[in-house]
Amino acid sequence: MAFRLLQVAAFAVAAALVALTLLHGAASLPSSGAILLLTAVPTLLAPLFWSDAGDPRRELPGEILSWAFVVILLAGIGWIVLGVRLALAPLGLASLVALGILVVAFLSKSMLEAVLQGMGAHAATARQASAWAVTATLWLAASTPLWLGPVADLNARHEPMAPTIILACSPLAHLAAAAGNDVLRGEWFYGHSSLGSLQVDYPRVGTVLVAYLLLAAALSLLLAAARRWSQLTAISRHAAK
Amino acid sequence: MLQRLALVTLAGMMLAAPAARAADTMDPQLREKARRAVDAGLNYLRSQQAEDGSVAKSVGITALSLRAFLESHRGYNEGDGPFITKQVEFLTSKVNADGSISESLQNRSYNTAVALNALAATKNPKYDSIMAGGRKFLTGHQIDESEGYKPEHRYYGGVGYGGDERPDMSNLYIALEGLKAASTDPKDPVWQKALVFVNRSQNRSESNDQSWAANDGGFVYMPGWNPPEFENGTNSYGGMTAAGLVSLLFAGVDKSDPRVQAAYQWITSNYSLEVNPGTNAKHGLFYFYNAFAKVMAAYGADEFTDGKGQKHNWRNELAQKLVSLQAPDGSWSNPNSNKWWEDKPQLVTAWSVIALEQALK
Repeated sequence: MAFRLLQVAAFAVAAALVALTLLHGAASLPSSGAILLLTAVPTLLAPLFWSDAGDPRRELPGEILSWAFVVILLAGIGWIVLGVRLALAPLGLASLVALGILVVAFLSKSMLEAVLQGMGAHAATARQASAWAVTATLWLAASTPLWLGPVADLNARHEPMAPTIILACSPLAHLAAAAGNDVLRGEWFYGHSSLGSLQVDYPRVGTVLVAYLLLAAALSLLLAAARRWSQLTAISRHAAK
Repeated sequence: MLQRLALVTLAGMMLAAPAARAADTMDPQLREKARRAVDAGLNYLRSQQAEDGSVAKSVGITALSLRAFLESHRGYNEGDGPFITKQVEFLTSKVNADGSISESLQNRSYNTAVALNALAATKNPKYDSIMAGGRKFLTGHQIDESEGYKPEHRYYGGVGYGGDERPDMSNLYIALEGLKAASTDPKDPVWQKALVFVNRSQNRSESNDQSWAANDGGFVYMPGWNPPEFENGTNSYGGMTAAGLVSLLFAGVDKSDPRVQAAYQWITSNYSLEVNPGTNAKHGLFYFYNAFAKVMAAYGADEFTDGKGQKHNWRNELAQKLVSLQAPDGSWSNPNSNKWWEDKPQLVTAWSVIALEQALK
């Protein structure tokens, strides 16, 4: 019950954020900013709604389709009702990056779930815990420019690549690079993250996509291994009883 | 024969005029030191050039470096060798389909503007079409009705780094400098739109319709906002006041205009080379030196009296300061701040050389 309430609360906050942004500055919201908003919010929230998902081979296409539906719905509202303009090429690129994030997040969640089950956790508990853990990790990674900004600031003189490395860890930066939005120099981030005033390069979109592809391949192998281990431990636990 | 002699005499007088002016206003010994500092700075920049002619692999820094060479007392030009032509080639190799000159999506506006300045300094008509493209990109990039902004919006008329993000006074001044170098028609609407943003960034309630505006005549980073590094709310500060004042002059506002006078009053009253004036911070200090030199040269005053009644010769004092801060390898960098890349010696050296060149003019 508490989990459901948190889900609804998170969704309500996100929906309010998108609605307020669109209503407040729909006409003047730049295309790249709108694309970032439309892709980042559903992507970063998606794992919260995977608590009931099971086998990734069966569930993943459905989850991706639901996510795509949310983005299309938001884009439709923004485009038709509020007049937000969206450039199609960056939208396509950002969608591809979002897809990469979702696949990696889903596989991570499934792997963690298998590990927890292997450790003896109840199936429902394992699903909820893994969904929350992946969501938290995703948000933590997305916000690295904020909470790791001071580290980059302190080390930029000796480690000139520190700001770029920190930015490269953020899925939000990956989406921003694809959308063509210099999110660090937007008014809010510029005031709250020190990275905007340091020399920093966004990761290349091609590199980001390849990285997600490789990560997904590695996670698929790990997931298979985790499932096998989980089954074996379940069998041995059963036999011990 | 007489005609030729007259022409040679006239040319000699024209060449001698700037030197005589600098000699009049600058201590001769210091002038010599400043020239040596420029030479050492240029040597440093030359040592930083990559095989492709770039400096720090950046269009922005390469363009500033190129400008530093072309505007130096050495009178370098493209005939002087690959250390000039390779920099030009690097810049022209980064021209994009939209007219911008940039190696990345970030800083497109800043990079294009400084590249226009550098290409203009070559005085080579070969680059006219590239400059026309850059001019088109910058004017198109200005925030106005085409981006869905109405004149009432506080972003209106501004220019940002180059993405779709918020505009600021710093990028606007660089863009205007680039547009001026690219011979943009003074009647082009870009100047009047820019003035809307400039007015809204000045702490002068008579010409600023924003509720936060105070009345000291100085400038802030963007309407109602300064970078948090300065911890000064919406108080005016040196870097932006120099940027604002030079923007007013570039946009064709007369020196006698009360906005210009108010900004000039602020910058001379709050004069300091120890910190970024109006703050207690050394962030953006070399940016200030660079913009201050440009604005004082453009304004045309060699001496002024500060808020404490002390007289200053800005050419002497700025040259002395920069000479004293130069590293043994000829470079400059800000040891007290890494904000806005001031820990990058290639960038700060180019800025410092350009500032010295303004003082030597």
